[in-house]
Amino acid sequence: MSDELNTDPRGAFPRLWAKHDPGIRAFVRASLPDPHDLAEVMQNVSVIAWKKFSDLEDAETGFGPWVSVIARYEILKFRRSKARDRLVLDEDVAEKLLDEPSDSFSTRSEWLLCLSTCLKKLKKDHQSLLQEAYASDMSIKKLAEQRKRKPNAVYQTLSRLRSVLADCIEKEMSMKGAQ
Amino acid sequence: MKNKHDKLFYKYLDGRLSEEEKSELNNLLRKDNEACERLKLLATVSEGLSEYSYHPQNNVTKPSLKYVPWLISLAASIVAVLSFLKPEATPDFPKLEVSTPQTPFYALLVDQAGAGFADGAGPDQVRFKKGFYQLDDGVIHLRFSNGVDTVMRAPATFAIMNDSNIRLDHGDVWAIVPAGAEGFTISSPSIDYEDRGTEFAISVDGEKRSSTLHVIDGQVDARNPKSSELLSSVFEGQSTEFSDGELIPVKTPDLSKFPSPNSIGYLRWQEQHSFYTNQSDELIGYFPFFEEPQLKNYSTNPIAGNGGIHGARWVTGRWPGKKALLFDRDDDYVEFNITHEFDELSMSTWINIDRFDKTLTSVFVSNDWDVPGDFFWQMTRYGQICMGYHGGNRINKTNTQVIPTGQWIHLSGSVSIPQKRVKLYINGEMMSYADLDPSSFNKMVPGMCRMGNWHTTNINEGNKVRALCGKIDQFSIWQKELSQEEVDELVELGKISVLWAMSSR
Repeated sequence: MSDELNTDPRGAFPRLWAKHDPGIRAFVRASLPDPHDLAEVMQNVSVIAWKKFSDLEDAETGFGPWVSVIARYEILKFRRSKARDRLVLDEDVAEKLLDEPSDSFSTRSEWLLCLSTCLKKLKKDHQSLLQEAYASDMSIKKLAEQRKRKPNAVYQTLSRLRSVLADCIEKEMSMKGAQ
Repeated sequence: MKNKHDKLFYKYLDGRLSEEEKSELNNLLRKDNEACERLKLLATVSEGLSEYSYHPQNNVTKPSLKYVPWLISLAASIVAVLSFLKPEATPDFPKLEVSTPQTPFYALLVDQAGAGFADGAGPDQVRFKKGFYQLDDGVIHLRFSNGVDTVMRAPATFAIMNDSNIRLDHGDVWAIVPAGAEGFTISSPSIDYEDRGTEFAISVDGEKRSSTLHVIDGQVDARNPKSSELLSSVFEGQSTEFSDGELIPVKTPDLSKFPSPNSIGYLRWQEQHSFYTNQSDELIGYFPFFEEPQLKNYSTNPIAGNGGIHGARWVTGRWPGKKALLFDRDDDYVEFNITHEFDELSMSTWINIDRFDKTLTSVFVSNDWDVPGDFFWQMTRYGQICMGYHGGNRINKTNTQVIPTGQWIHLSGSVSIPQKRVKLYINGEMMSYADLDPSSFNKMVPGMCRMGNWHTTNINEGNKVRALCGKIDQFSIWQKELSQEEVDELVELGKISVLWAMSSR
């Protein structure tokens, strides 16, 4: 355990949370794509993780997987609280997505690291489009107006770029595996 | 081709699936493990793009962590506030999902009661960014990223400039500035009020372009906004009015019109009456403690009856205006006669205990304790609490917390004979669990019982005096076991303020 964890276990929480937040969000997002649902579950997860943080023995290495377990439970709890017609995924499918092997969290973290590499490989114009679409509150409609394009065309481009990035991540992962 | 389903997955991730496509997606994911993995990857890409602040000239950088610590500490409150807010209207074309706005926000709405903003002049859910806001209804409590708390009551118009500056055009605000956030400034027409580490209240009349400052604690400097010239330093207990270009000391400040963090709690409590009166028949006693000759039961199934007040006096409860009963003498109590039989009983109360000066202190106990089925809820000298009934043997599994004194707390507990267990909570946290053996008697019949005291005619009883020293300002009785979620809701509905919730849970 690090000095920080020894002397101020609660003080380490924000740092660990910030480090693993994208991976946890990605895990929740696959099951709950609606941004409001995602935000609500993430907030519940953060509160529970904060309260139970002192129970975690190996926080440095175990934080991400541990929070994923909390997130899994909170997703299922959240689903139970919602009307069935509001949920996109059937119960068995949602559980299938949530039942992951123990090393999945580190895989997801690797994906996020590869995403950084892959983003750099995109053309400047595509980088700029992604930045505008994701790093602001701008709607696709407004983004399309600015770029003098049809909204659907912008949406298709963004979808294609996401697929390009996903393919690139898979390639990066396979190269890492081969090394 | 591994990305042949990507289009379907994007529709799912972006909230654009038709009913037919939902079915297609479920069938695909059910049978195709590779499709599941691809969806997880695309979700990670989408979330990664949202999370990373991407600058083409600077490559990829990690997101700012500025807000993380306080965001986490406030998360519980935000969830509660979110539940009061209606979701925004769906845009005509779905936005690419951005779950955490990357544009900075300076304050979060951590509590509110009846809040309503003018169209186009409200927050993004609970986030307040730089911009103009118009509060038309209710009261709001904002917490800034530097820890400053501000409470405002409608009508109010204001602009958030950054995390240390509000421009108040009209309205009343109460501000609590913690150490380290000194310099927090509320700008009003023609004058800036700069905090030096304190608690203060400001009222601005937009039409007259005048303002009044009351310093509750510490020091506030009034400055010329153009030259930053110090016009006056106002200290604890002092008030000043700025009108027609002049600062004039005010002798008799009226603080009653200013909203405080607690006033939101009181408004919420006033609104919660309908929550209790809309409960099912399982709520058999709801005592909001309105000042009346009897402790009146407002439940729609009031089989617990009204309570007869003996000695206990009406005093102020959790908030000014809210009534409580004070129990501070050995013969103060409220008596009930509950003759029904129960398999399950739960009770909850808001209580402020002065001290534990007796071996046992009664919250709610059947008289005499001589008949199987008699009920008890009482506390030990050491601040531990227990609940049960005559005939039900309890085996404590955990009893970890001590009840705090000198502050308002929420206590609740349930006895379930079918589930063979007793659960007790302090401020929504389970603090005691006991297994229950109902084999000798399997019904609860409280009969004649007292709140805040105990009566016995047994001359051999060693602990006859069990009078409560403290106040109670709400009490409820259910003929069912309360779940953790229900206990949480009771605490949420009655919490004194969001600041109380942060320090107590």
